[in-house]
Amino acid sequence: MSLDKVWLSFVDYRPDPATPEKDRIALGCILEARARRSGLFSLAGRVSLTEPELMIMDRIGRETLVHPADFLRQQLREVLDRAGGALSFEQGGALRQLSQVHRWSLYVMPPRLIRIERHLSQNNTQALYSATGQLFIARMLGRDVSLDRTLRAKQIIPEDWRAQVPPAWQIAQSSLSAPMEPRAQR
Amino acid sequence: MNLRTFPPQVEQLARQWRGEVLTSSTWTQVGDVIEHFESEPFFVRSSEGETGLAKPGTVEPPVHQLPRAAHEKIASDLAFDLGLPVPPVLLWSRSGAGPKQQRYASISALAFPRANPWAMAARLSSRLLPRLAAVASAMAVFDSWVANADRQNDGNLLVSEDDSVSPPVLRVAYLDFANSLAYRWGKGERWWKWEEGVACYPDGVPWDVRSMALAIGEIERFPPATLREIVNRIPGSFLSEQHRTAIREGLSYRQSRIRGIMASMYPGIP
Repeated sequence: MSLDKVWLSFVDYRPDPATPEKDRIALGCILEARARRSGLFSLAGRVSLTEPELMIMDRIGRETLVHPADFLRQQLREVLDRAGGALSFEQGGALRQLSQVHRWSLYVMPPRLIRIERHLSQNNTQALYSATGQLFIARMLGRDVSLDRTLRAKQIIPEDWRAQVPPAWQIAQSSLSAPMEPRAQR
Repeated sequence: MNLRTFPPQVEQLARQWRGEVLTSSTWTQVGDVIEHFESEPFFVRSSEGETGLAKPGTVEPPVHQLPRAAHEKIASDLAFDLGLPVPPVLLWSRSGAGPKQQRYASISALAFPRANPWAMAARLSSRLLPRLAAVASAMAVFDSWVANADRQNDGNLLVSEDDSVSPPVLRVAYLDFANSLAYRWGKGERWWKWEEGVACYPDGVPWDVRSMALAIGEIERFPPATLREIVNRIPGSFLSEQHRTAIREGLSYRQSRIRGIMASMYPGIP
């Protein structure tokens, strides 16, 4: 698996997409990396939403997004099952498909390429997992992380940011893999 | 027939926009262009605080080949008069558009907040589909009239179960008429005479014969003068004369054929 090219999408809920920062709720973060013949997906998402957050939504939103991490995993699984291995990593893979459907109140950001550098104590999968969690914490706290530089997997955010996450914003992390189109011939 | 369930302030805007063609407001792009959509749409906000989705964002294909903005405006105005849930639309002449940006665009007002595409709401289909029967049946007639070739798309139907009002309302908006009207009719008479209908959407929605019959009747009785007014007032920069003629002729021809078109798909229509 390469960490030189990793696709990133944040997932938010925003009641009015034309006023995207008003009442925005960070629901999750998904990273997509390319292994030899498959895609590896690392997900971090809120375990559940609080009552005040749910009250921002309509009934459909409340019922489907009450457990965001589960919902995102299920959405991703559906995209992968539908594609049946026909996704092209070079074109943004599964995240591209997710972002095309979810562009309204539920918003999957169009995937952007990032580069991750693993720590010596990590393998690539661990680095991907660690980066996903840290990027999501930054997103939840509304803090900017420069995505143009290479992200050092153990040091994307300062240590004290984790302590600033309210207990109600518990995070679940998981990973998925799926077959993918062979690499384009160069 | 009134199957519109937009909030009162959006209905007020719709009445206003139905009387207008071109926006005179200043609009600002919000966020990035929505990538990998053929029309490259983007959200906008006006100086008066109105919000909408602008499209097309790209110059390709050129207006003289596919007048997408004009299609959106014509479909929205027809739907408003028929009481069908298509968001209000104005044309937008973007004087500051760059060389690859479309100068002749449309702005579709955001019909309601907390909008869910059908792709997301479909997991609640057992509860929602029966409640969509009347509107989906009427919209199938409308889509067939305007020859909308792009209905089977999970992102082009938005729903919201708004329980912030009493009683709760199921808000519904059918979007995207870019590939309707002159999309095919511009190729010649045989295309608008091609009596192909559009099925009810979303898939699996129960067919409401009463609603379908009502929509057919409304379209058959649609005043020819109003139809001409809606099409003729589109500025020439947004709609060529060849396409304008095709749209007028096509709508008029299919108005008289709509009952047969729907009956061929849904036997039992009176």
